[in-house]
Amino acid sequence: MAEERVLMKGNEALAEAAIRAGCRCYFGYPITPQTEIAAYMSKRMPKIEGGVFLQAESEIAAINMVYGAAASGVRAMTSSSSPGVSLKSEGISYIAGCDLPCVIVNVQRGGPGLGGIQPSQSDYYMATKAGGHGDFHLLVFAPASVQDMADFAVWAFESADKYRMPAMILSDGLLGQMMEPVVFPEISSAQPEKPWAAVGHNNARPHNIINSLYLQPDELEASNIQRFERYEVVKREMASAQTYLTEDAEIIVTGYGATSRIIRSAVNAARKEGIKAGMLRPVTLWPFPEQAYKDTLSTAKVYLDVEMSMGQMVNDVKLAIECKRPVHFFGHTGGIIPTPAEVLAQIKALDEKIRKGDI
Amino acid sequence: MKHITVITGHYGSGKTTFAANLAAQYRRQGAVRIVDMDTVNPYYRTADLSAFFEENDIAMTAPMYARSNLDIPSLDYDIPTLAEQSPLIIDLGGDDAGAYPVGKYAAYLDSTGYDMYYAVNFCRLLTHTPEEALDILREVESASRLRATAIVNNTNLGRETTEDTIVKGEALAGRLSEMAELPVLCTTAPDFLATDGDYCKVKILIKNIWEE
Repeated sequence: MAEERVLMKGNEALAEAAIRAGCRCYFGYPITPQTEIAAYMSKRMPKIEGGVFLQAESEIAAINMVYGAAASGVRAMTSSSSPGVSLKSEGISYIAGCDLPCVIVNVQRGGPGLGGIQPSQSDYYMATKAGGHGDFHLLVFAPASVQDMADFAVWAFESADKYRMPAMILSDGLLGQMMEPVVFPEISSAQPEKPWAAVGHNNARPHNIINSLYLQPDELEASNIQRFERYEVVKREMASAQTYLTEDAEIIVTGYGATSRIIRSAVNAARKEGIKAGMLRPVTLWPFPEQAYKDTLSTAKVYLDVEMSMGQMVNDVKLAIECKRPVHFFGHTGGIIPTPAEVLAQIKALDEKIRKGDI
Repeated sequence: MKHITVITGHYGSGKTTFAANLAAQYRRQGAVRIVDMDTVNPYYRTADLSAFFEENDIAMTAPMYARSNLDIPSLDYDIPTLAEQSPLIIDLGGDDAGAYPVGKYAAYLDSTGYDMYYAVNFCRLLTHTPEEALDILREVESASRLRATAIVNNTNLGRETTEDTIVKGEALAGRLSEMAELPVLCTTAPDFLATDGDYCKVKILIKNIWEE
């Protein structure tokens, strides 16, 4: 059974894998294109021992329910799409301030504002830079296939517990809705001890306090410094990237999530025309896989960042390569998906510049 | 072939692809209209395939707001009026939620007669066994206030479908057929699969943008 392949939508695969990873509390609120996660949870959770599905009255209520469940040590998750995740940002900040593990899924749609319902990647800043107020980071995972949606749900829960951080799975409407065969990962049922959790103990120990309020400046600063020391460990241990045909690549095409599938097709087409193009896909967006970018500098002459946004990741690429090469950008927004042919045209234009000595 | 054919099934069972292929087959015998009655999911709906229907001279009716700035679950057409013009294939949304709207016409369809095909893909996790597929069939029948008249065995793994996938699905469809006391109308196979089997070949109309 474990090795059997089934055909799943990305949203369903993520939900099923979360349950298998031990998620026992799911709180959500409907919004296209992530509603299948809530719909799936509503069907499955009642059949799971200890499983809770609750449709909250709002996104804000849902994230605060996650806050409470996570404080008691339960693996808890919420999901939404872009505008709904904006609403959750206050709660996310509180969870980060309390050092609680949980998983937040964003199946991105076009923005800003109410935007549209088609796929987008314009919440990169929100996920990696501004998930809420205060000094904190989220672990941010960027799946690129239905299999990733399943695997990363498990990865996100495990990493969130390990580092006591909220983790975000930054998906998009394309990955959420598309269907692909998937095998569910084998999961060890053992979860880490959570001695910090606020659970009943019959006065066997001093009580635990889950709190993000520090009115004494020195205490608040100490808590922030402690957290940022932990982030340094996370940066060393978690940064992850996938490369494809980069060994000799002069043109590094970079992009995350579903866009990396399009880039791969374009790189294959470019290689057929003798152009030395390769793909670099950041798998974790925070921490950003800086070393993987630096490793490509020995052959790279130019970088092309492709996104379904106005170019939110460009600066991170420039910082990773310390601005040693030009970084170009190509993208679409509003739910328009870049095609492999469009990306290939961009690659060919850069190749021509290299041949002419303009790069 | 009845004058009105309703296509139903579990969410993601391949209803829309099958409905479009069936419409192309019916078109060879005369005019036919496909009706998008999906009020559940604005992604991957019948209206997305309008180019295919135009190419094959198949009439299409979709909710007037489908794919507009106001994709709300409202149906602004009337099935008896449309049925005066030509045979209809009605493509429902998934599960019981998607089957409710057609229930409005249950009395009318009972009086005219209809076919209702239940598409099932045993590679889907929630219809992995005949028992699970039967549960969803009964939910769909209850919501639509109609009875299925046949099963369409649409077992597949997308682009990774092999003959083995289909053969395994056939055995499960056989058991569902006995349990539900319904015939299996056909077993489908995707157009890209080379096989000598007696399958209903289905043209794959929904592709990912990166597929070459």
